[in-house]
Formats: sequence, structure tokens, C-alpha cells
Amino acid sequence: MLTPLLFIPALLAAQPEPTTGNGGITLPEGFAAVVVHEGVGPARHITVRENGDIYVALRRAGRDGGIVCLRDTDDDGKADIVERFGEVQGTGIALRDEWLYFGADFKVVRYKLPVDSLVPTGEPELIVDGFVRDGQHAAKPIDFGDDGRLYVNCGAPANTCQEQMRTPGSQGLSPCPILEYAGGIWSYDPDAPNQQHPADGVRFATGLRNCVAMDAHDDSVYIVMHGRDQLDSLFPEFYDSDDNADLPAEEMHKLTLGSDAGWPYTYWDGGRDERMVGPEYGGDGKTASTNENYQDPIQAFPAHWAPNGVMIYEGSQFPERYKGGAFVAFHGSWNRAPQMQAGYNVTFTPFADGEPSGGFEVFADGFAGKEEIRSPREAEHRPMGLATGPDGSLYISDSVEGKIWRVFYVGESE
Amino acid sequence: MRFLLCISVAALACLTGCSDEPEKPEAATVLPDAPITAEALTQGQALYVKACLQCHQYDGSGVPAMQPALIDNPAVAGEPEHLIEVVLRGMGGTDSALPPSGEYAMTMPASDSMTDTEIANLLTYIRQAYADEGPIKPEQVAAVRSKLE
Repeated sequence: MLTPLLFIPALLAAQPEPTTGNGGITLPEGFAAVVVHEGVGPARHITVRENGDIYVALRRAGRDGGIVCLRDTDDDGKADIVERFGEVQGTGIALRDEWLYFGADFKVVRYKLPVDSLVPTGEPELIVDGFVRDGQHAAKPIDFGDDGRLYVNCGAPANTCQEQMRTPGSQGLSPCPILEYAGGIWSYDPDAPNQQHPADGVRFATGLRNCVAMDAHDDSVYIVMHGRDQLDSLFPEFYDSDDNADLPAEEMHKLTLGSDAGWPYTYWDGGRDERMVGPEYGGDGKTASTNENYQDPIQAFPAHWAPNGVMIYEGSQFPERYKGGAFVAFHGSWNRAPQMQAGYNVTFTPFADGEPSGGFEVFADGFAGKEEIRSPREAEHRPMGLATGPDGSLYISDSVEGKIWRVFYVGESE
Repeated sequence: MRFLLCISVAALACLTGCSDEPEKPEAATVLPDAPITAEALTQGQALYVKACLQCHQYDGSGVPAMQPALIDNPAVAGEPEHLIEVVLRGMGGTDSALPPSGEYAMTMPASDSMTDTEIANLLTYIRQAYADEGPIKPEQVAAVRSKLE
């Protein structure tokens, strides 16, 4: 017998007044958003402390620092105090105990963050150094696993592992030497200073081109990988521009120790729903990989959407179907020409038992400010980082101006 | 490709048809204000679409933090020799390439397999489309290539 549903207002605690038009984004019915800040600078990832303080990593450090600290003092959802600190710039940012960890492009540091202090104190402590100093895929997203380890994405400084980088027809190196120090996720002791990459770390997973979207959750690390670029311009004998625009999926994986997602030797063809041999390694667009060491994605997203944030929702505020599911922030494509660019949204994938239980849906959209984007610079805003607040609100950062949204549920719940 | 096509038409209309422009100072080696031919722009545009557009975009606007814009780029409007060297050597990624730009993450492959004429026409198109600057001649490309060898 079905139990009748009792509907009560979701607002057990006071929610802020939504910003007019939800600050320019569209949301599912029952959700609203307040703009926390109109623009803190070129924002990357974001994290929220148990007391509601917000920390945002900046891609470029301004004169006052590369980390922005925001505090709402009157519960209207908007930042009333804005502080900046840290002679660092980068992407990864995460809180643990009384420490704020920062993933700069070539190192990981941490700052002491006393209870109730908005701004850290003291000098940064170097935790991990020695990452390859190459600008390509240098972002270092970080997170802490249930095992207490610090997980660091080490993106491959390449599109694939060609003898001559991004050069038409150039073949792939085998074995790919990049995989010794990048193209994977490593874990480190979060309390040990001056560790060197990769010698002092543990290579947790490999075959990963670049995983800016990474969330350590339970005993796994969930990632959404940036798929390969330039199929048609590098191998025009096998692919046309539509193939390049549509085929190489952005792969969501549930990683465990030893996982291998097959980069650079393969890519996931979203049209065939199959892992294919890369053209640098003898593939021709029609040859599927037979290597069983490479795991399949748990979900394939459209090509080139550029997943830059993933978050398994652990909050209690949103309706039941959202709990344990995955939000993904897509920065938006640049490699789909001559087709229109795509992405520039936040999706949601419902989960059951730790894996997708259905397809993804666009959760938040409208960031770009226009329907058709031909070039990334046309986008007003680009979704970048995701975080959950202590009340279960979803925070979204934007990389163009650093606009910060807080999304909350205002509908009815069970 | 409306933007690309408009550039070609405008460039041809002006650069091949403007006979009453004030005289420019004589160049030391090659004439920078030599007429741009329709064939050069057509080939240059086709090469841009094939080799450059995916990264630098249809309108030369680049990708923030990844690939630089060609519009308002001092290197595009500046000394042809540097621009030619960028194409021949690439930027970042290999020891033979020019140093990577700290501001942009992506490396650029060398395109030294293109002929002198192809590189000249490609850069002529880029300079005309995005910087309103004069042509680059195959002889200039050959001179830079020779210097690098």
C-alpha cells in the first residue's frame, strides 16, 4: 500500500530571497538562486565551510591574492565581507579540519584556517611539489577521500601522446611516457610537507587525459574526463568535422585503485557507445578496442562540453531523487567548429547504488547569455566549480567574471 | 563562415583597388605593401580554416586561458619575422619550439611542412583579417626558414 505523501514547505530553515531572474540562469521548477557575488575574478573551483564561509580559487592572482573568501553576515545569501589572500593561483581548493588546501598549477599548499577565521593565517605550507611545468592541462583539482588521503588530478600535458604534439598524422608513443607522471590521479599524505610528485605519491588511477571534474566520494573517486580533441584536423583521412564535434565523449568514471580509462590509446565513441582505438595507435574510426583493462564510463556526455566540476550531492535540502546523484558543471566547448559550440550548463544525473540510474538532464542553463555560441568568448558566463553548503544549497562558480550563484529548493517536498 | 568571407571581400576590394593611397616608405628587403592577390587570400583563408580555426576560432577571438586571440594581438600586427617563426617552430611542447606563453595553457604545433608560399598566404590572410596589416611574402618566409636551419 502506498503511503500518502504529505507535502510541506521545504523551507525548514530561512532561505534567502531569490535574485530576480535567478541571476540570469534557468533552473528546474521548485528551485531558485541568489547571486552571492557578481564577480570575484576569474574563478575556478569553490568550497564552502561548515559555517557557510565560501572560498574561491582564482586562475589569475590579483594584487591582493589568488584566493577569495566570502562571508554572508545577514543571511540574505549575498556576500557582505570579501577578502583576498594568497600568492597563488590555480584551480583546486578544499577544506579539511583547520586547513585550507590549494591546488596551484604546479604545487599543492595549505594554509592554517582557525575556527571562525574567514582569512587564513600564516605562511603557506608546501604539501606536494614537482608536477610537470607545462601549461597544458596543468590544473590541479584536489579532494580528500574517505581514507584521509589527498587526491590530486595530474592532467596530461597533451591532447594524445603523439610523437609530435598536435601534429597531423603524427603517431602515438607506446608506451606513453607521460603516464609515468601525469594522465592520472595520484594520492598523497595530506599532512606530510614537501612531498615530491610522483615519487612520494600513490598512482591511484591512470589513462585519464584530464579530470578537472573530480569528487572523492565514499571509497571511490568520481571524475568526468575531458575527451580528446582534433580528430579531423589530425587525421582527416578517417574523420570529418562532424565526427570531431560529436564522437569523442566526455567520460564519467567511478575510479578505484588501479583503474585505467584507456587514454591515450583509446577514446570513447559516444555515437557507437564503444571504446575505440585512437587514430594515433592504428585506429581508423571503425576499430573498437579489445583491451579489457580499460574500463567503460558509467556515463558518456557529449563531446567537448568540457566538464570542469563534478559533485555527488550529499546535502539534505534537495528532493530525494537528487540525493547521491551527480551534478556536473560544463565549462563549454571550443573544439566543435564549424558546428556551434555547446555545453555551458550544469547537468544532473540521478544515481542508485553509486552509479547512474538514468540519463543526464540539464539542471541549470543560460550561463552563456545567448542561445548560440560560436566562440567561447561570446559566453557571458561559463560554469566552473560546484560545492554544497552546510544547508544543502548548491554553489556554482563562473570562470569569466567570477559570478557565484547559490541554488536552493523552494518547492514542496515529501 | 560569414565573418571569414566578409574579410576576404573587403580585403580584396581595398587592397587591390586603392590606387590613391599615400606613398609608404620603402622597405629594406621586401615590399610590405605589395598588393594582396585574390589567390593568396583564398588560399590563406582555406589554410586558416584547416589549420588554425579550431583553436583560434572562426573570428580570431581565441579561447580565454587556452589559445590567444589573433585580434588585437601585437604579434600579429608586429614584425613579420616573429610571426613566421611562430608558425615554423610552434610554441611550447618541444625543445625546438618557441617558449610557451605563460598566460595561455595550450601549446601550438610547428607547421614547417607547409611551403613558403602557403605560410606567406596564411599569414597574409591572418594579418589582413585580424590586424589590417600588409602582406607577408614567400621570400620573407624563406629567409626565416633559412635562418632557423
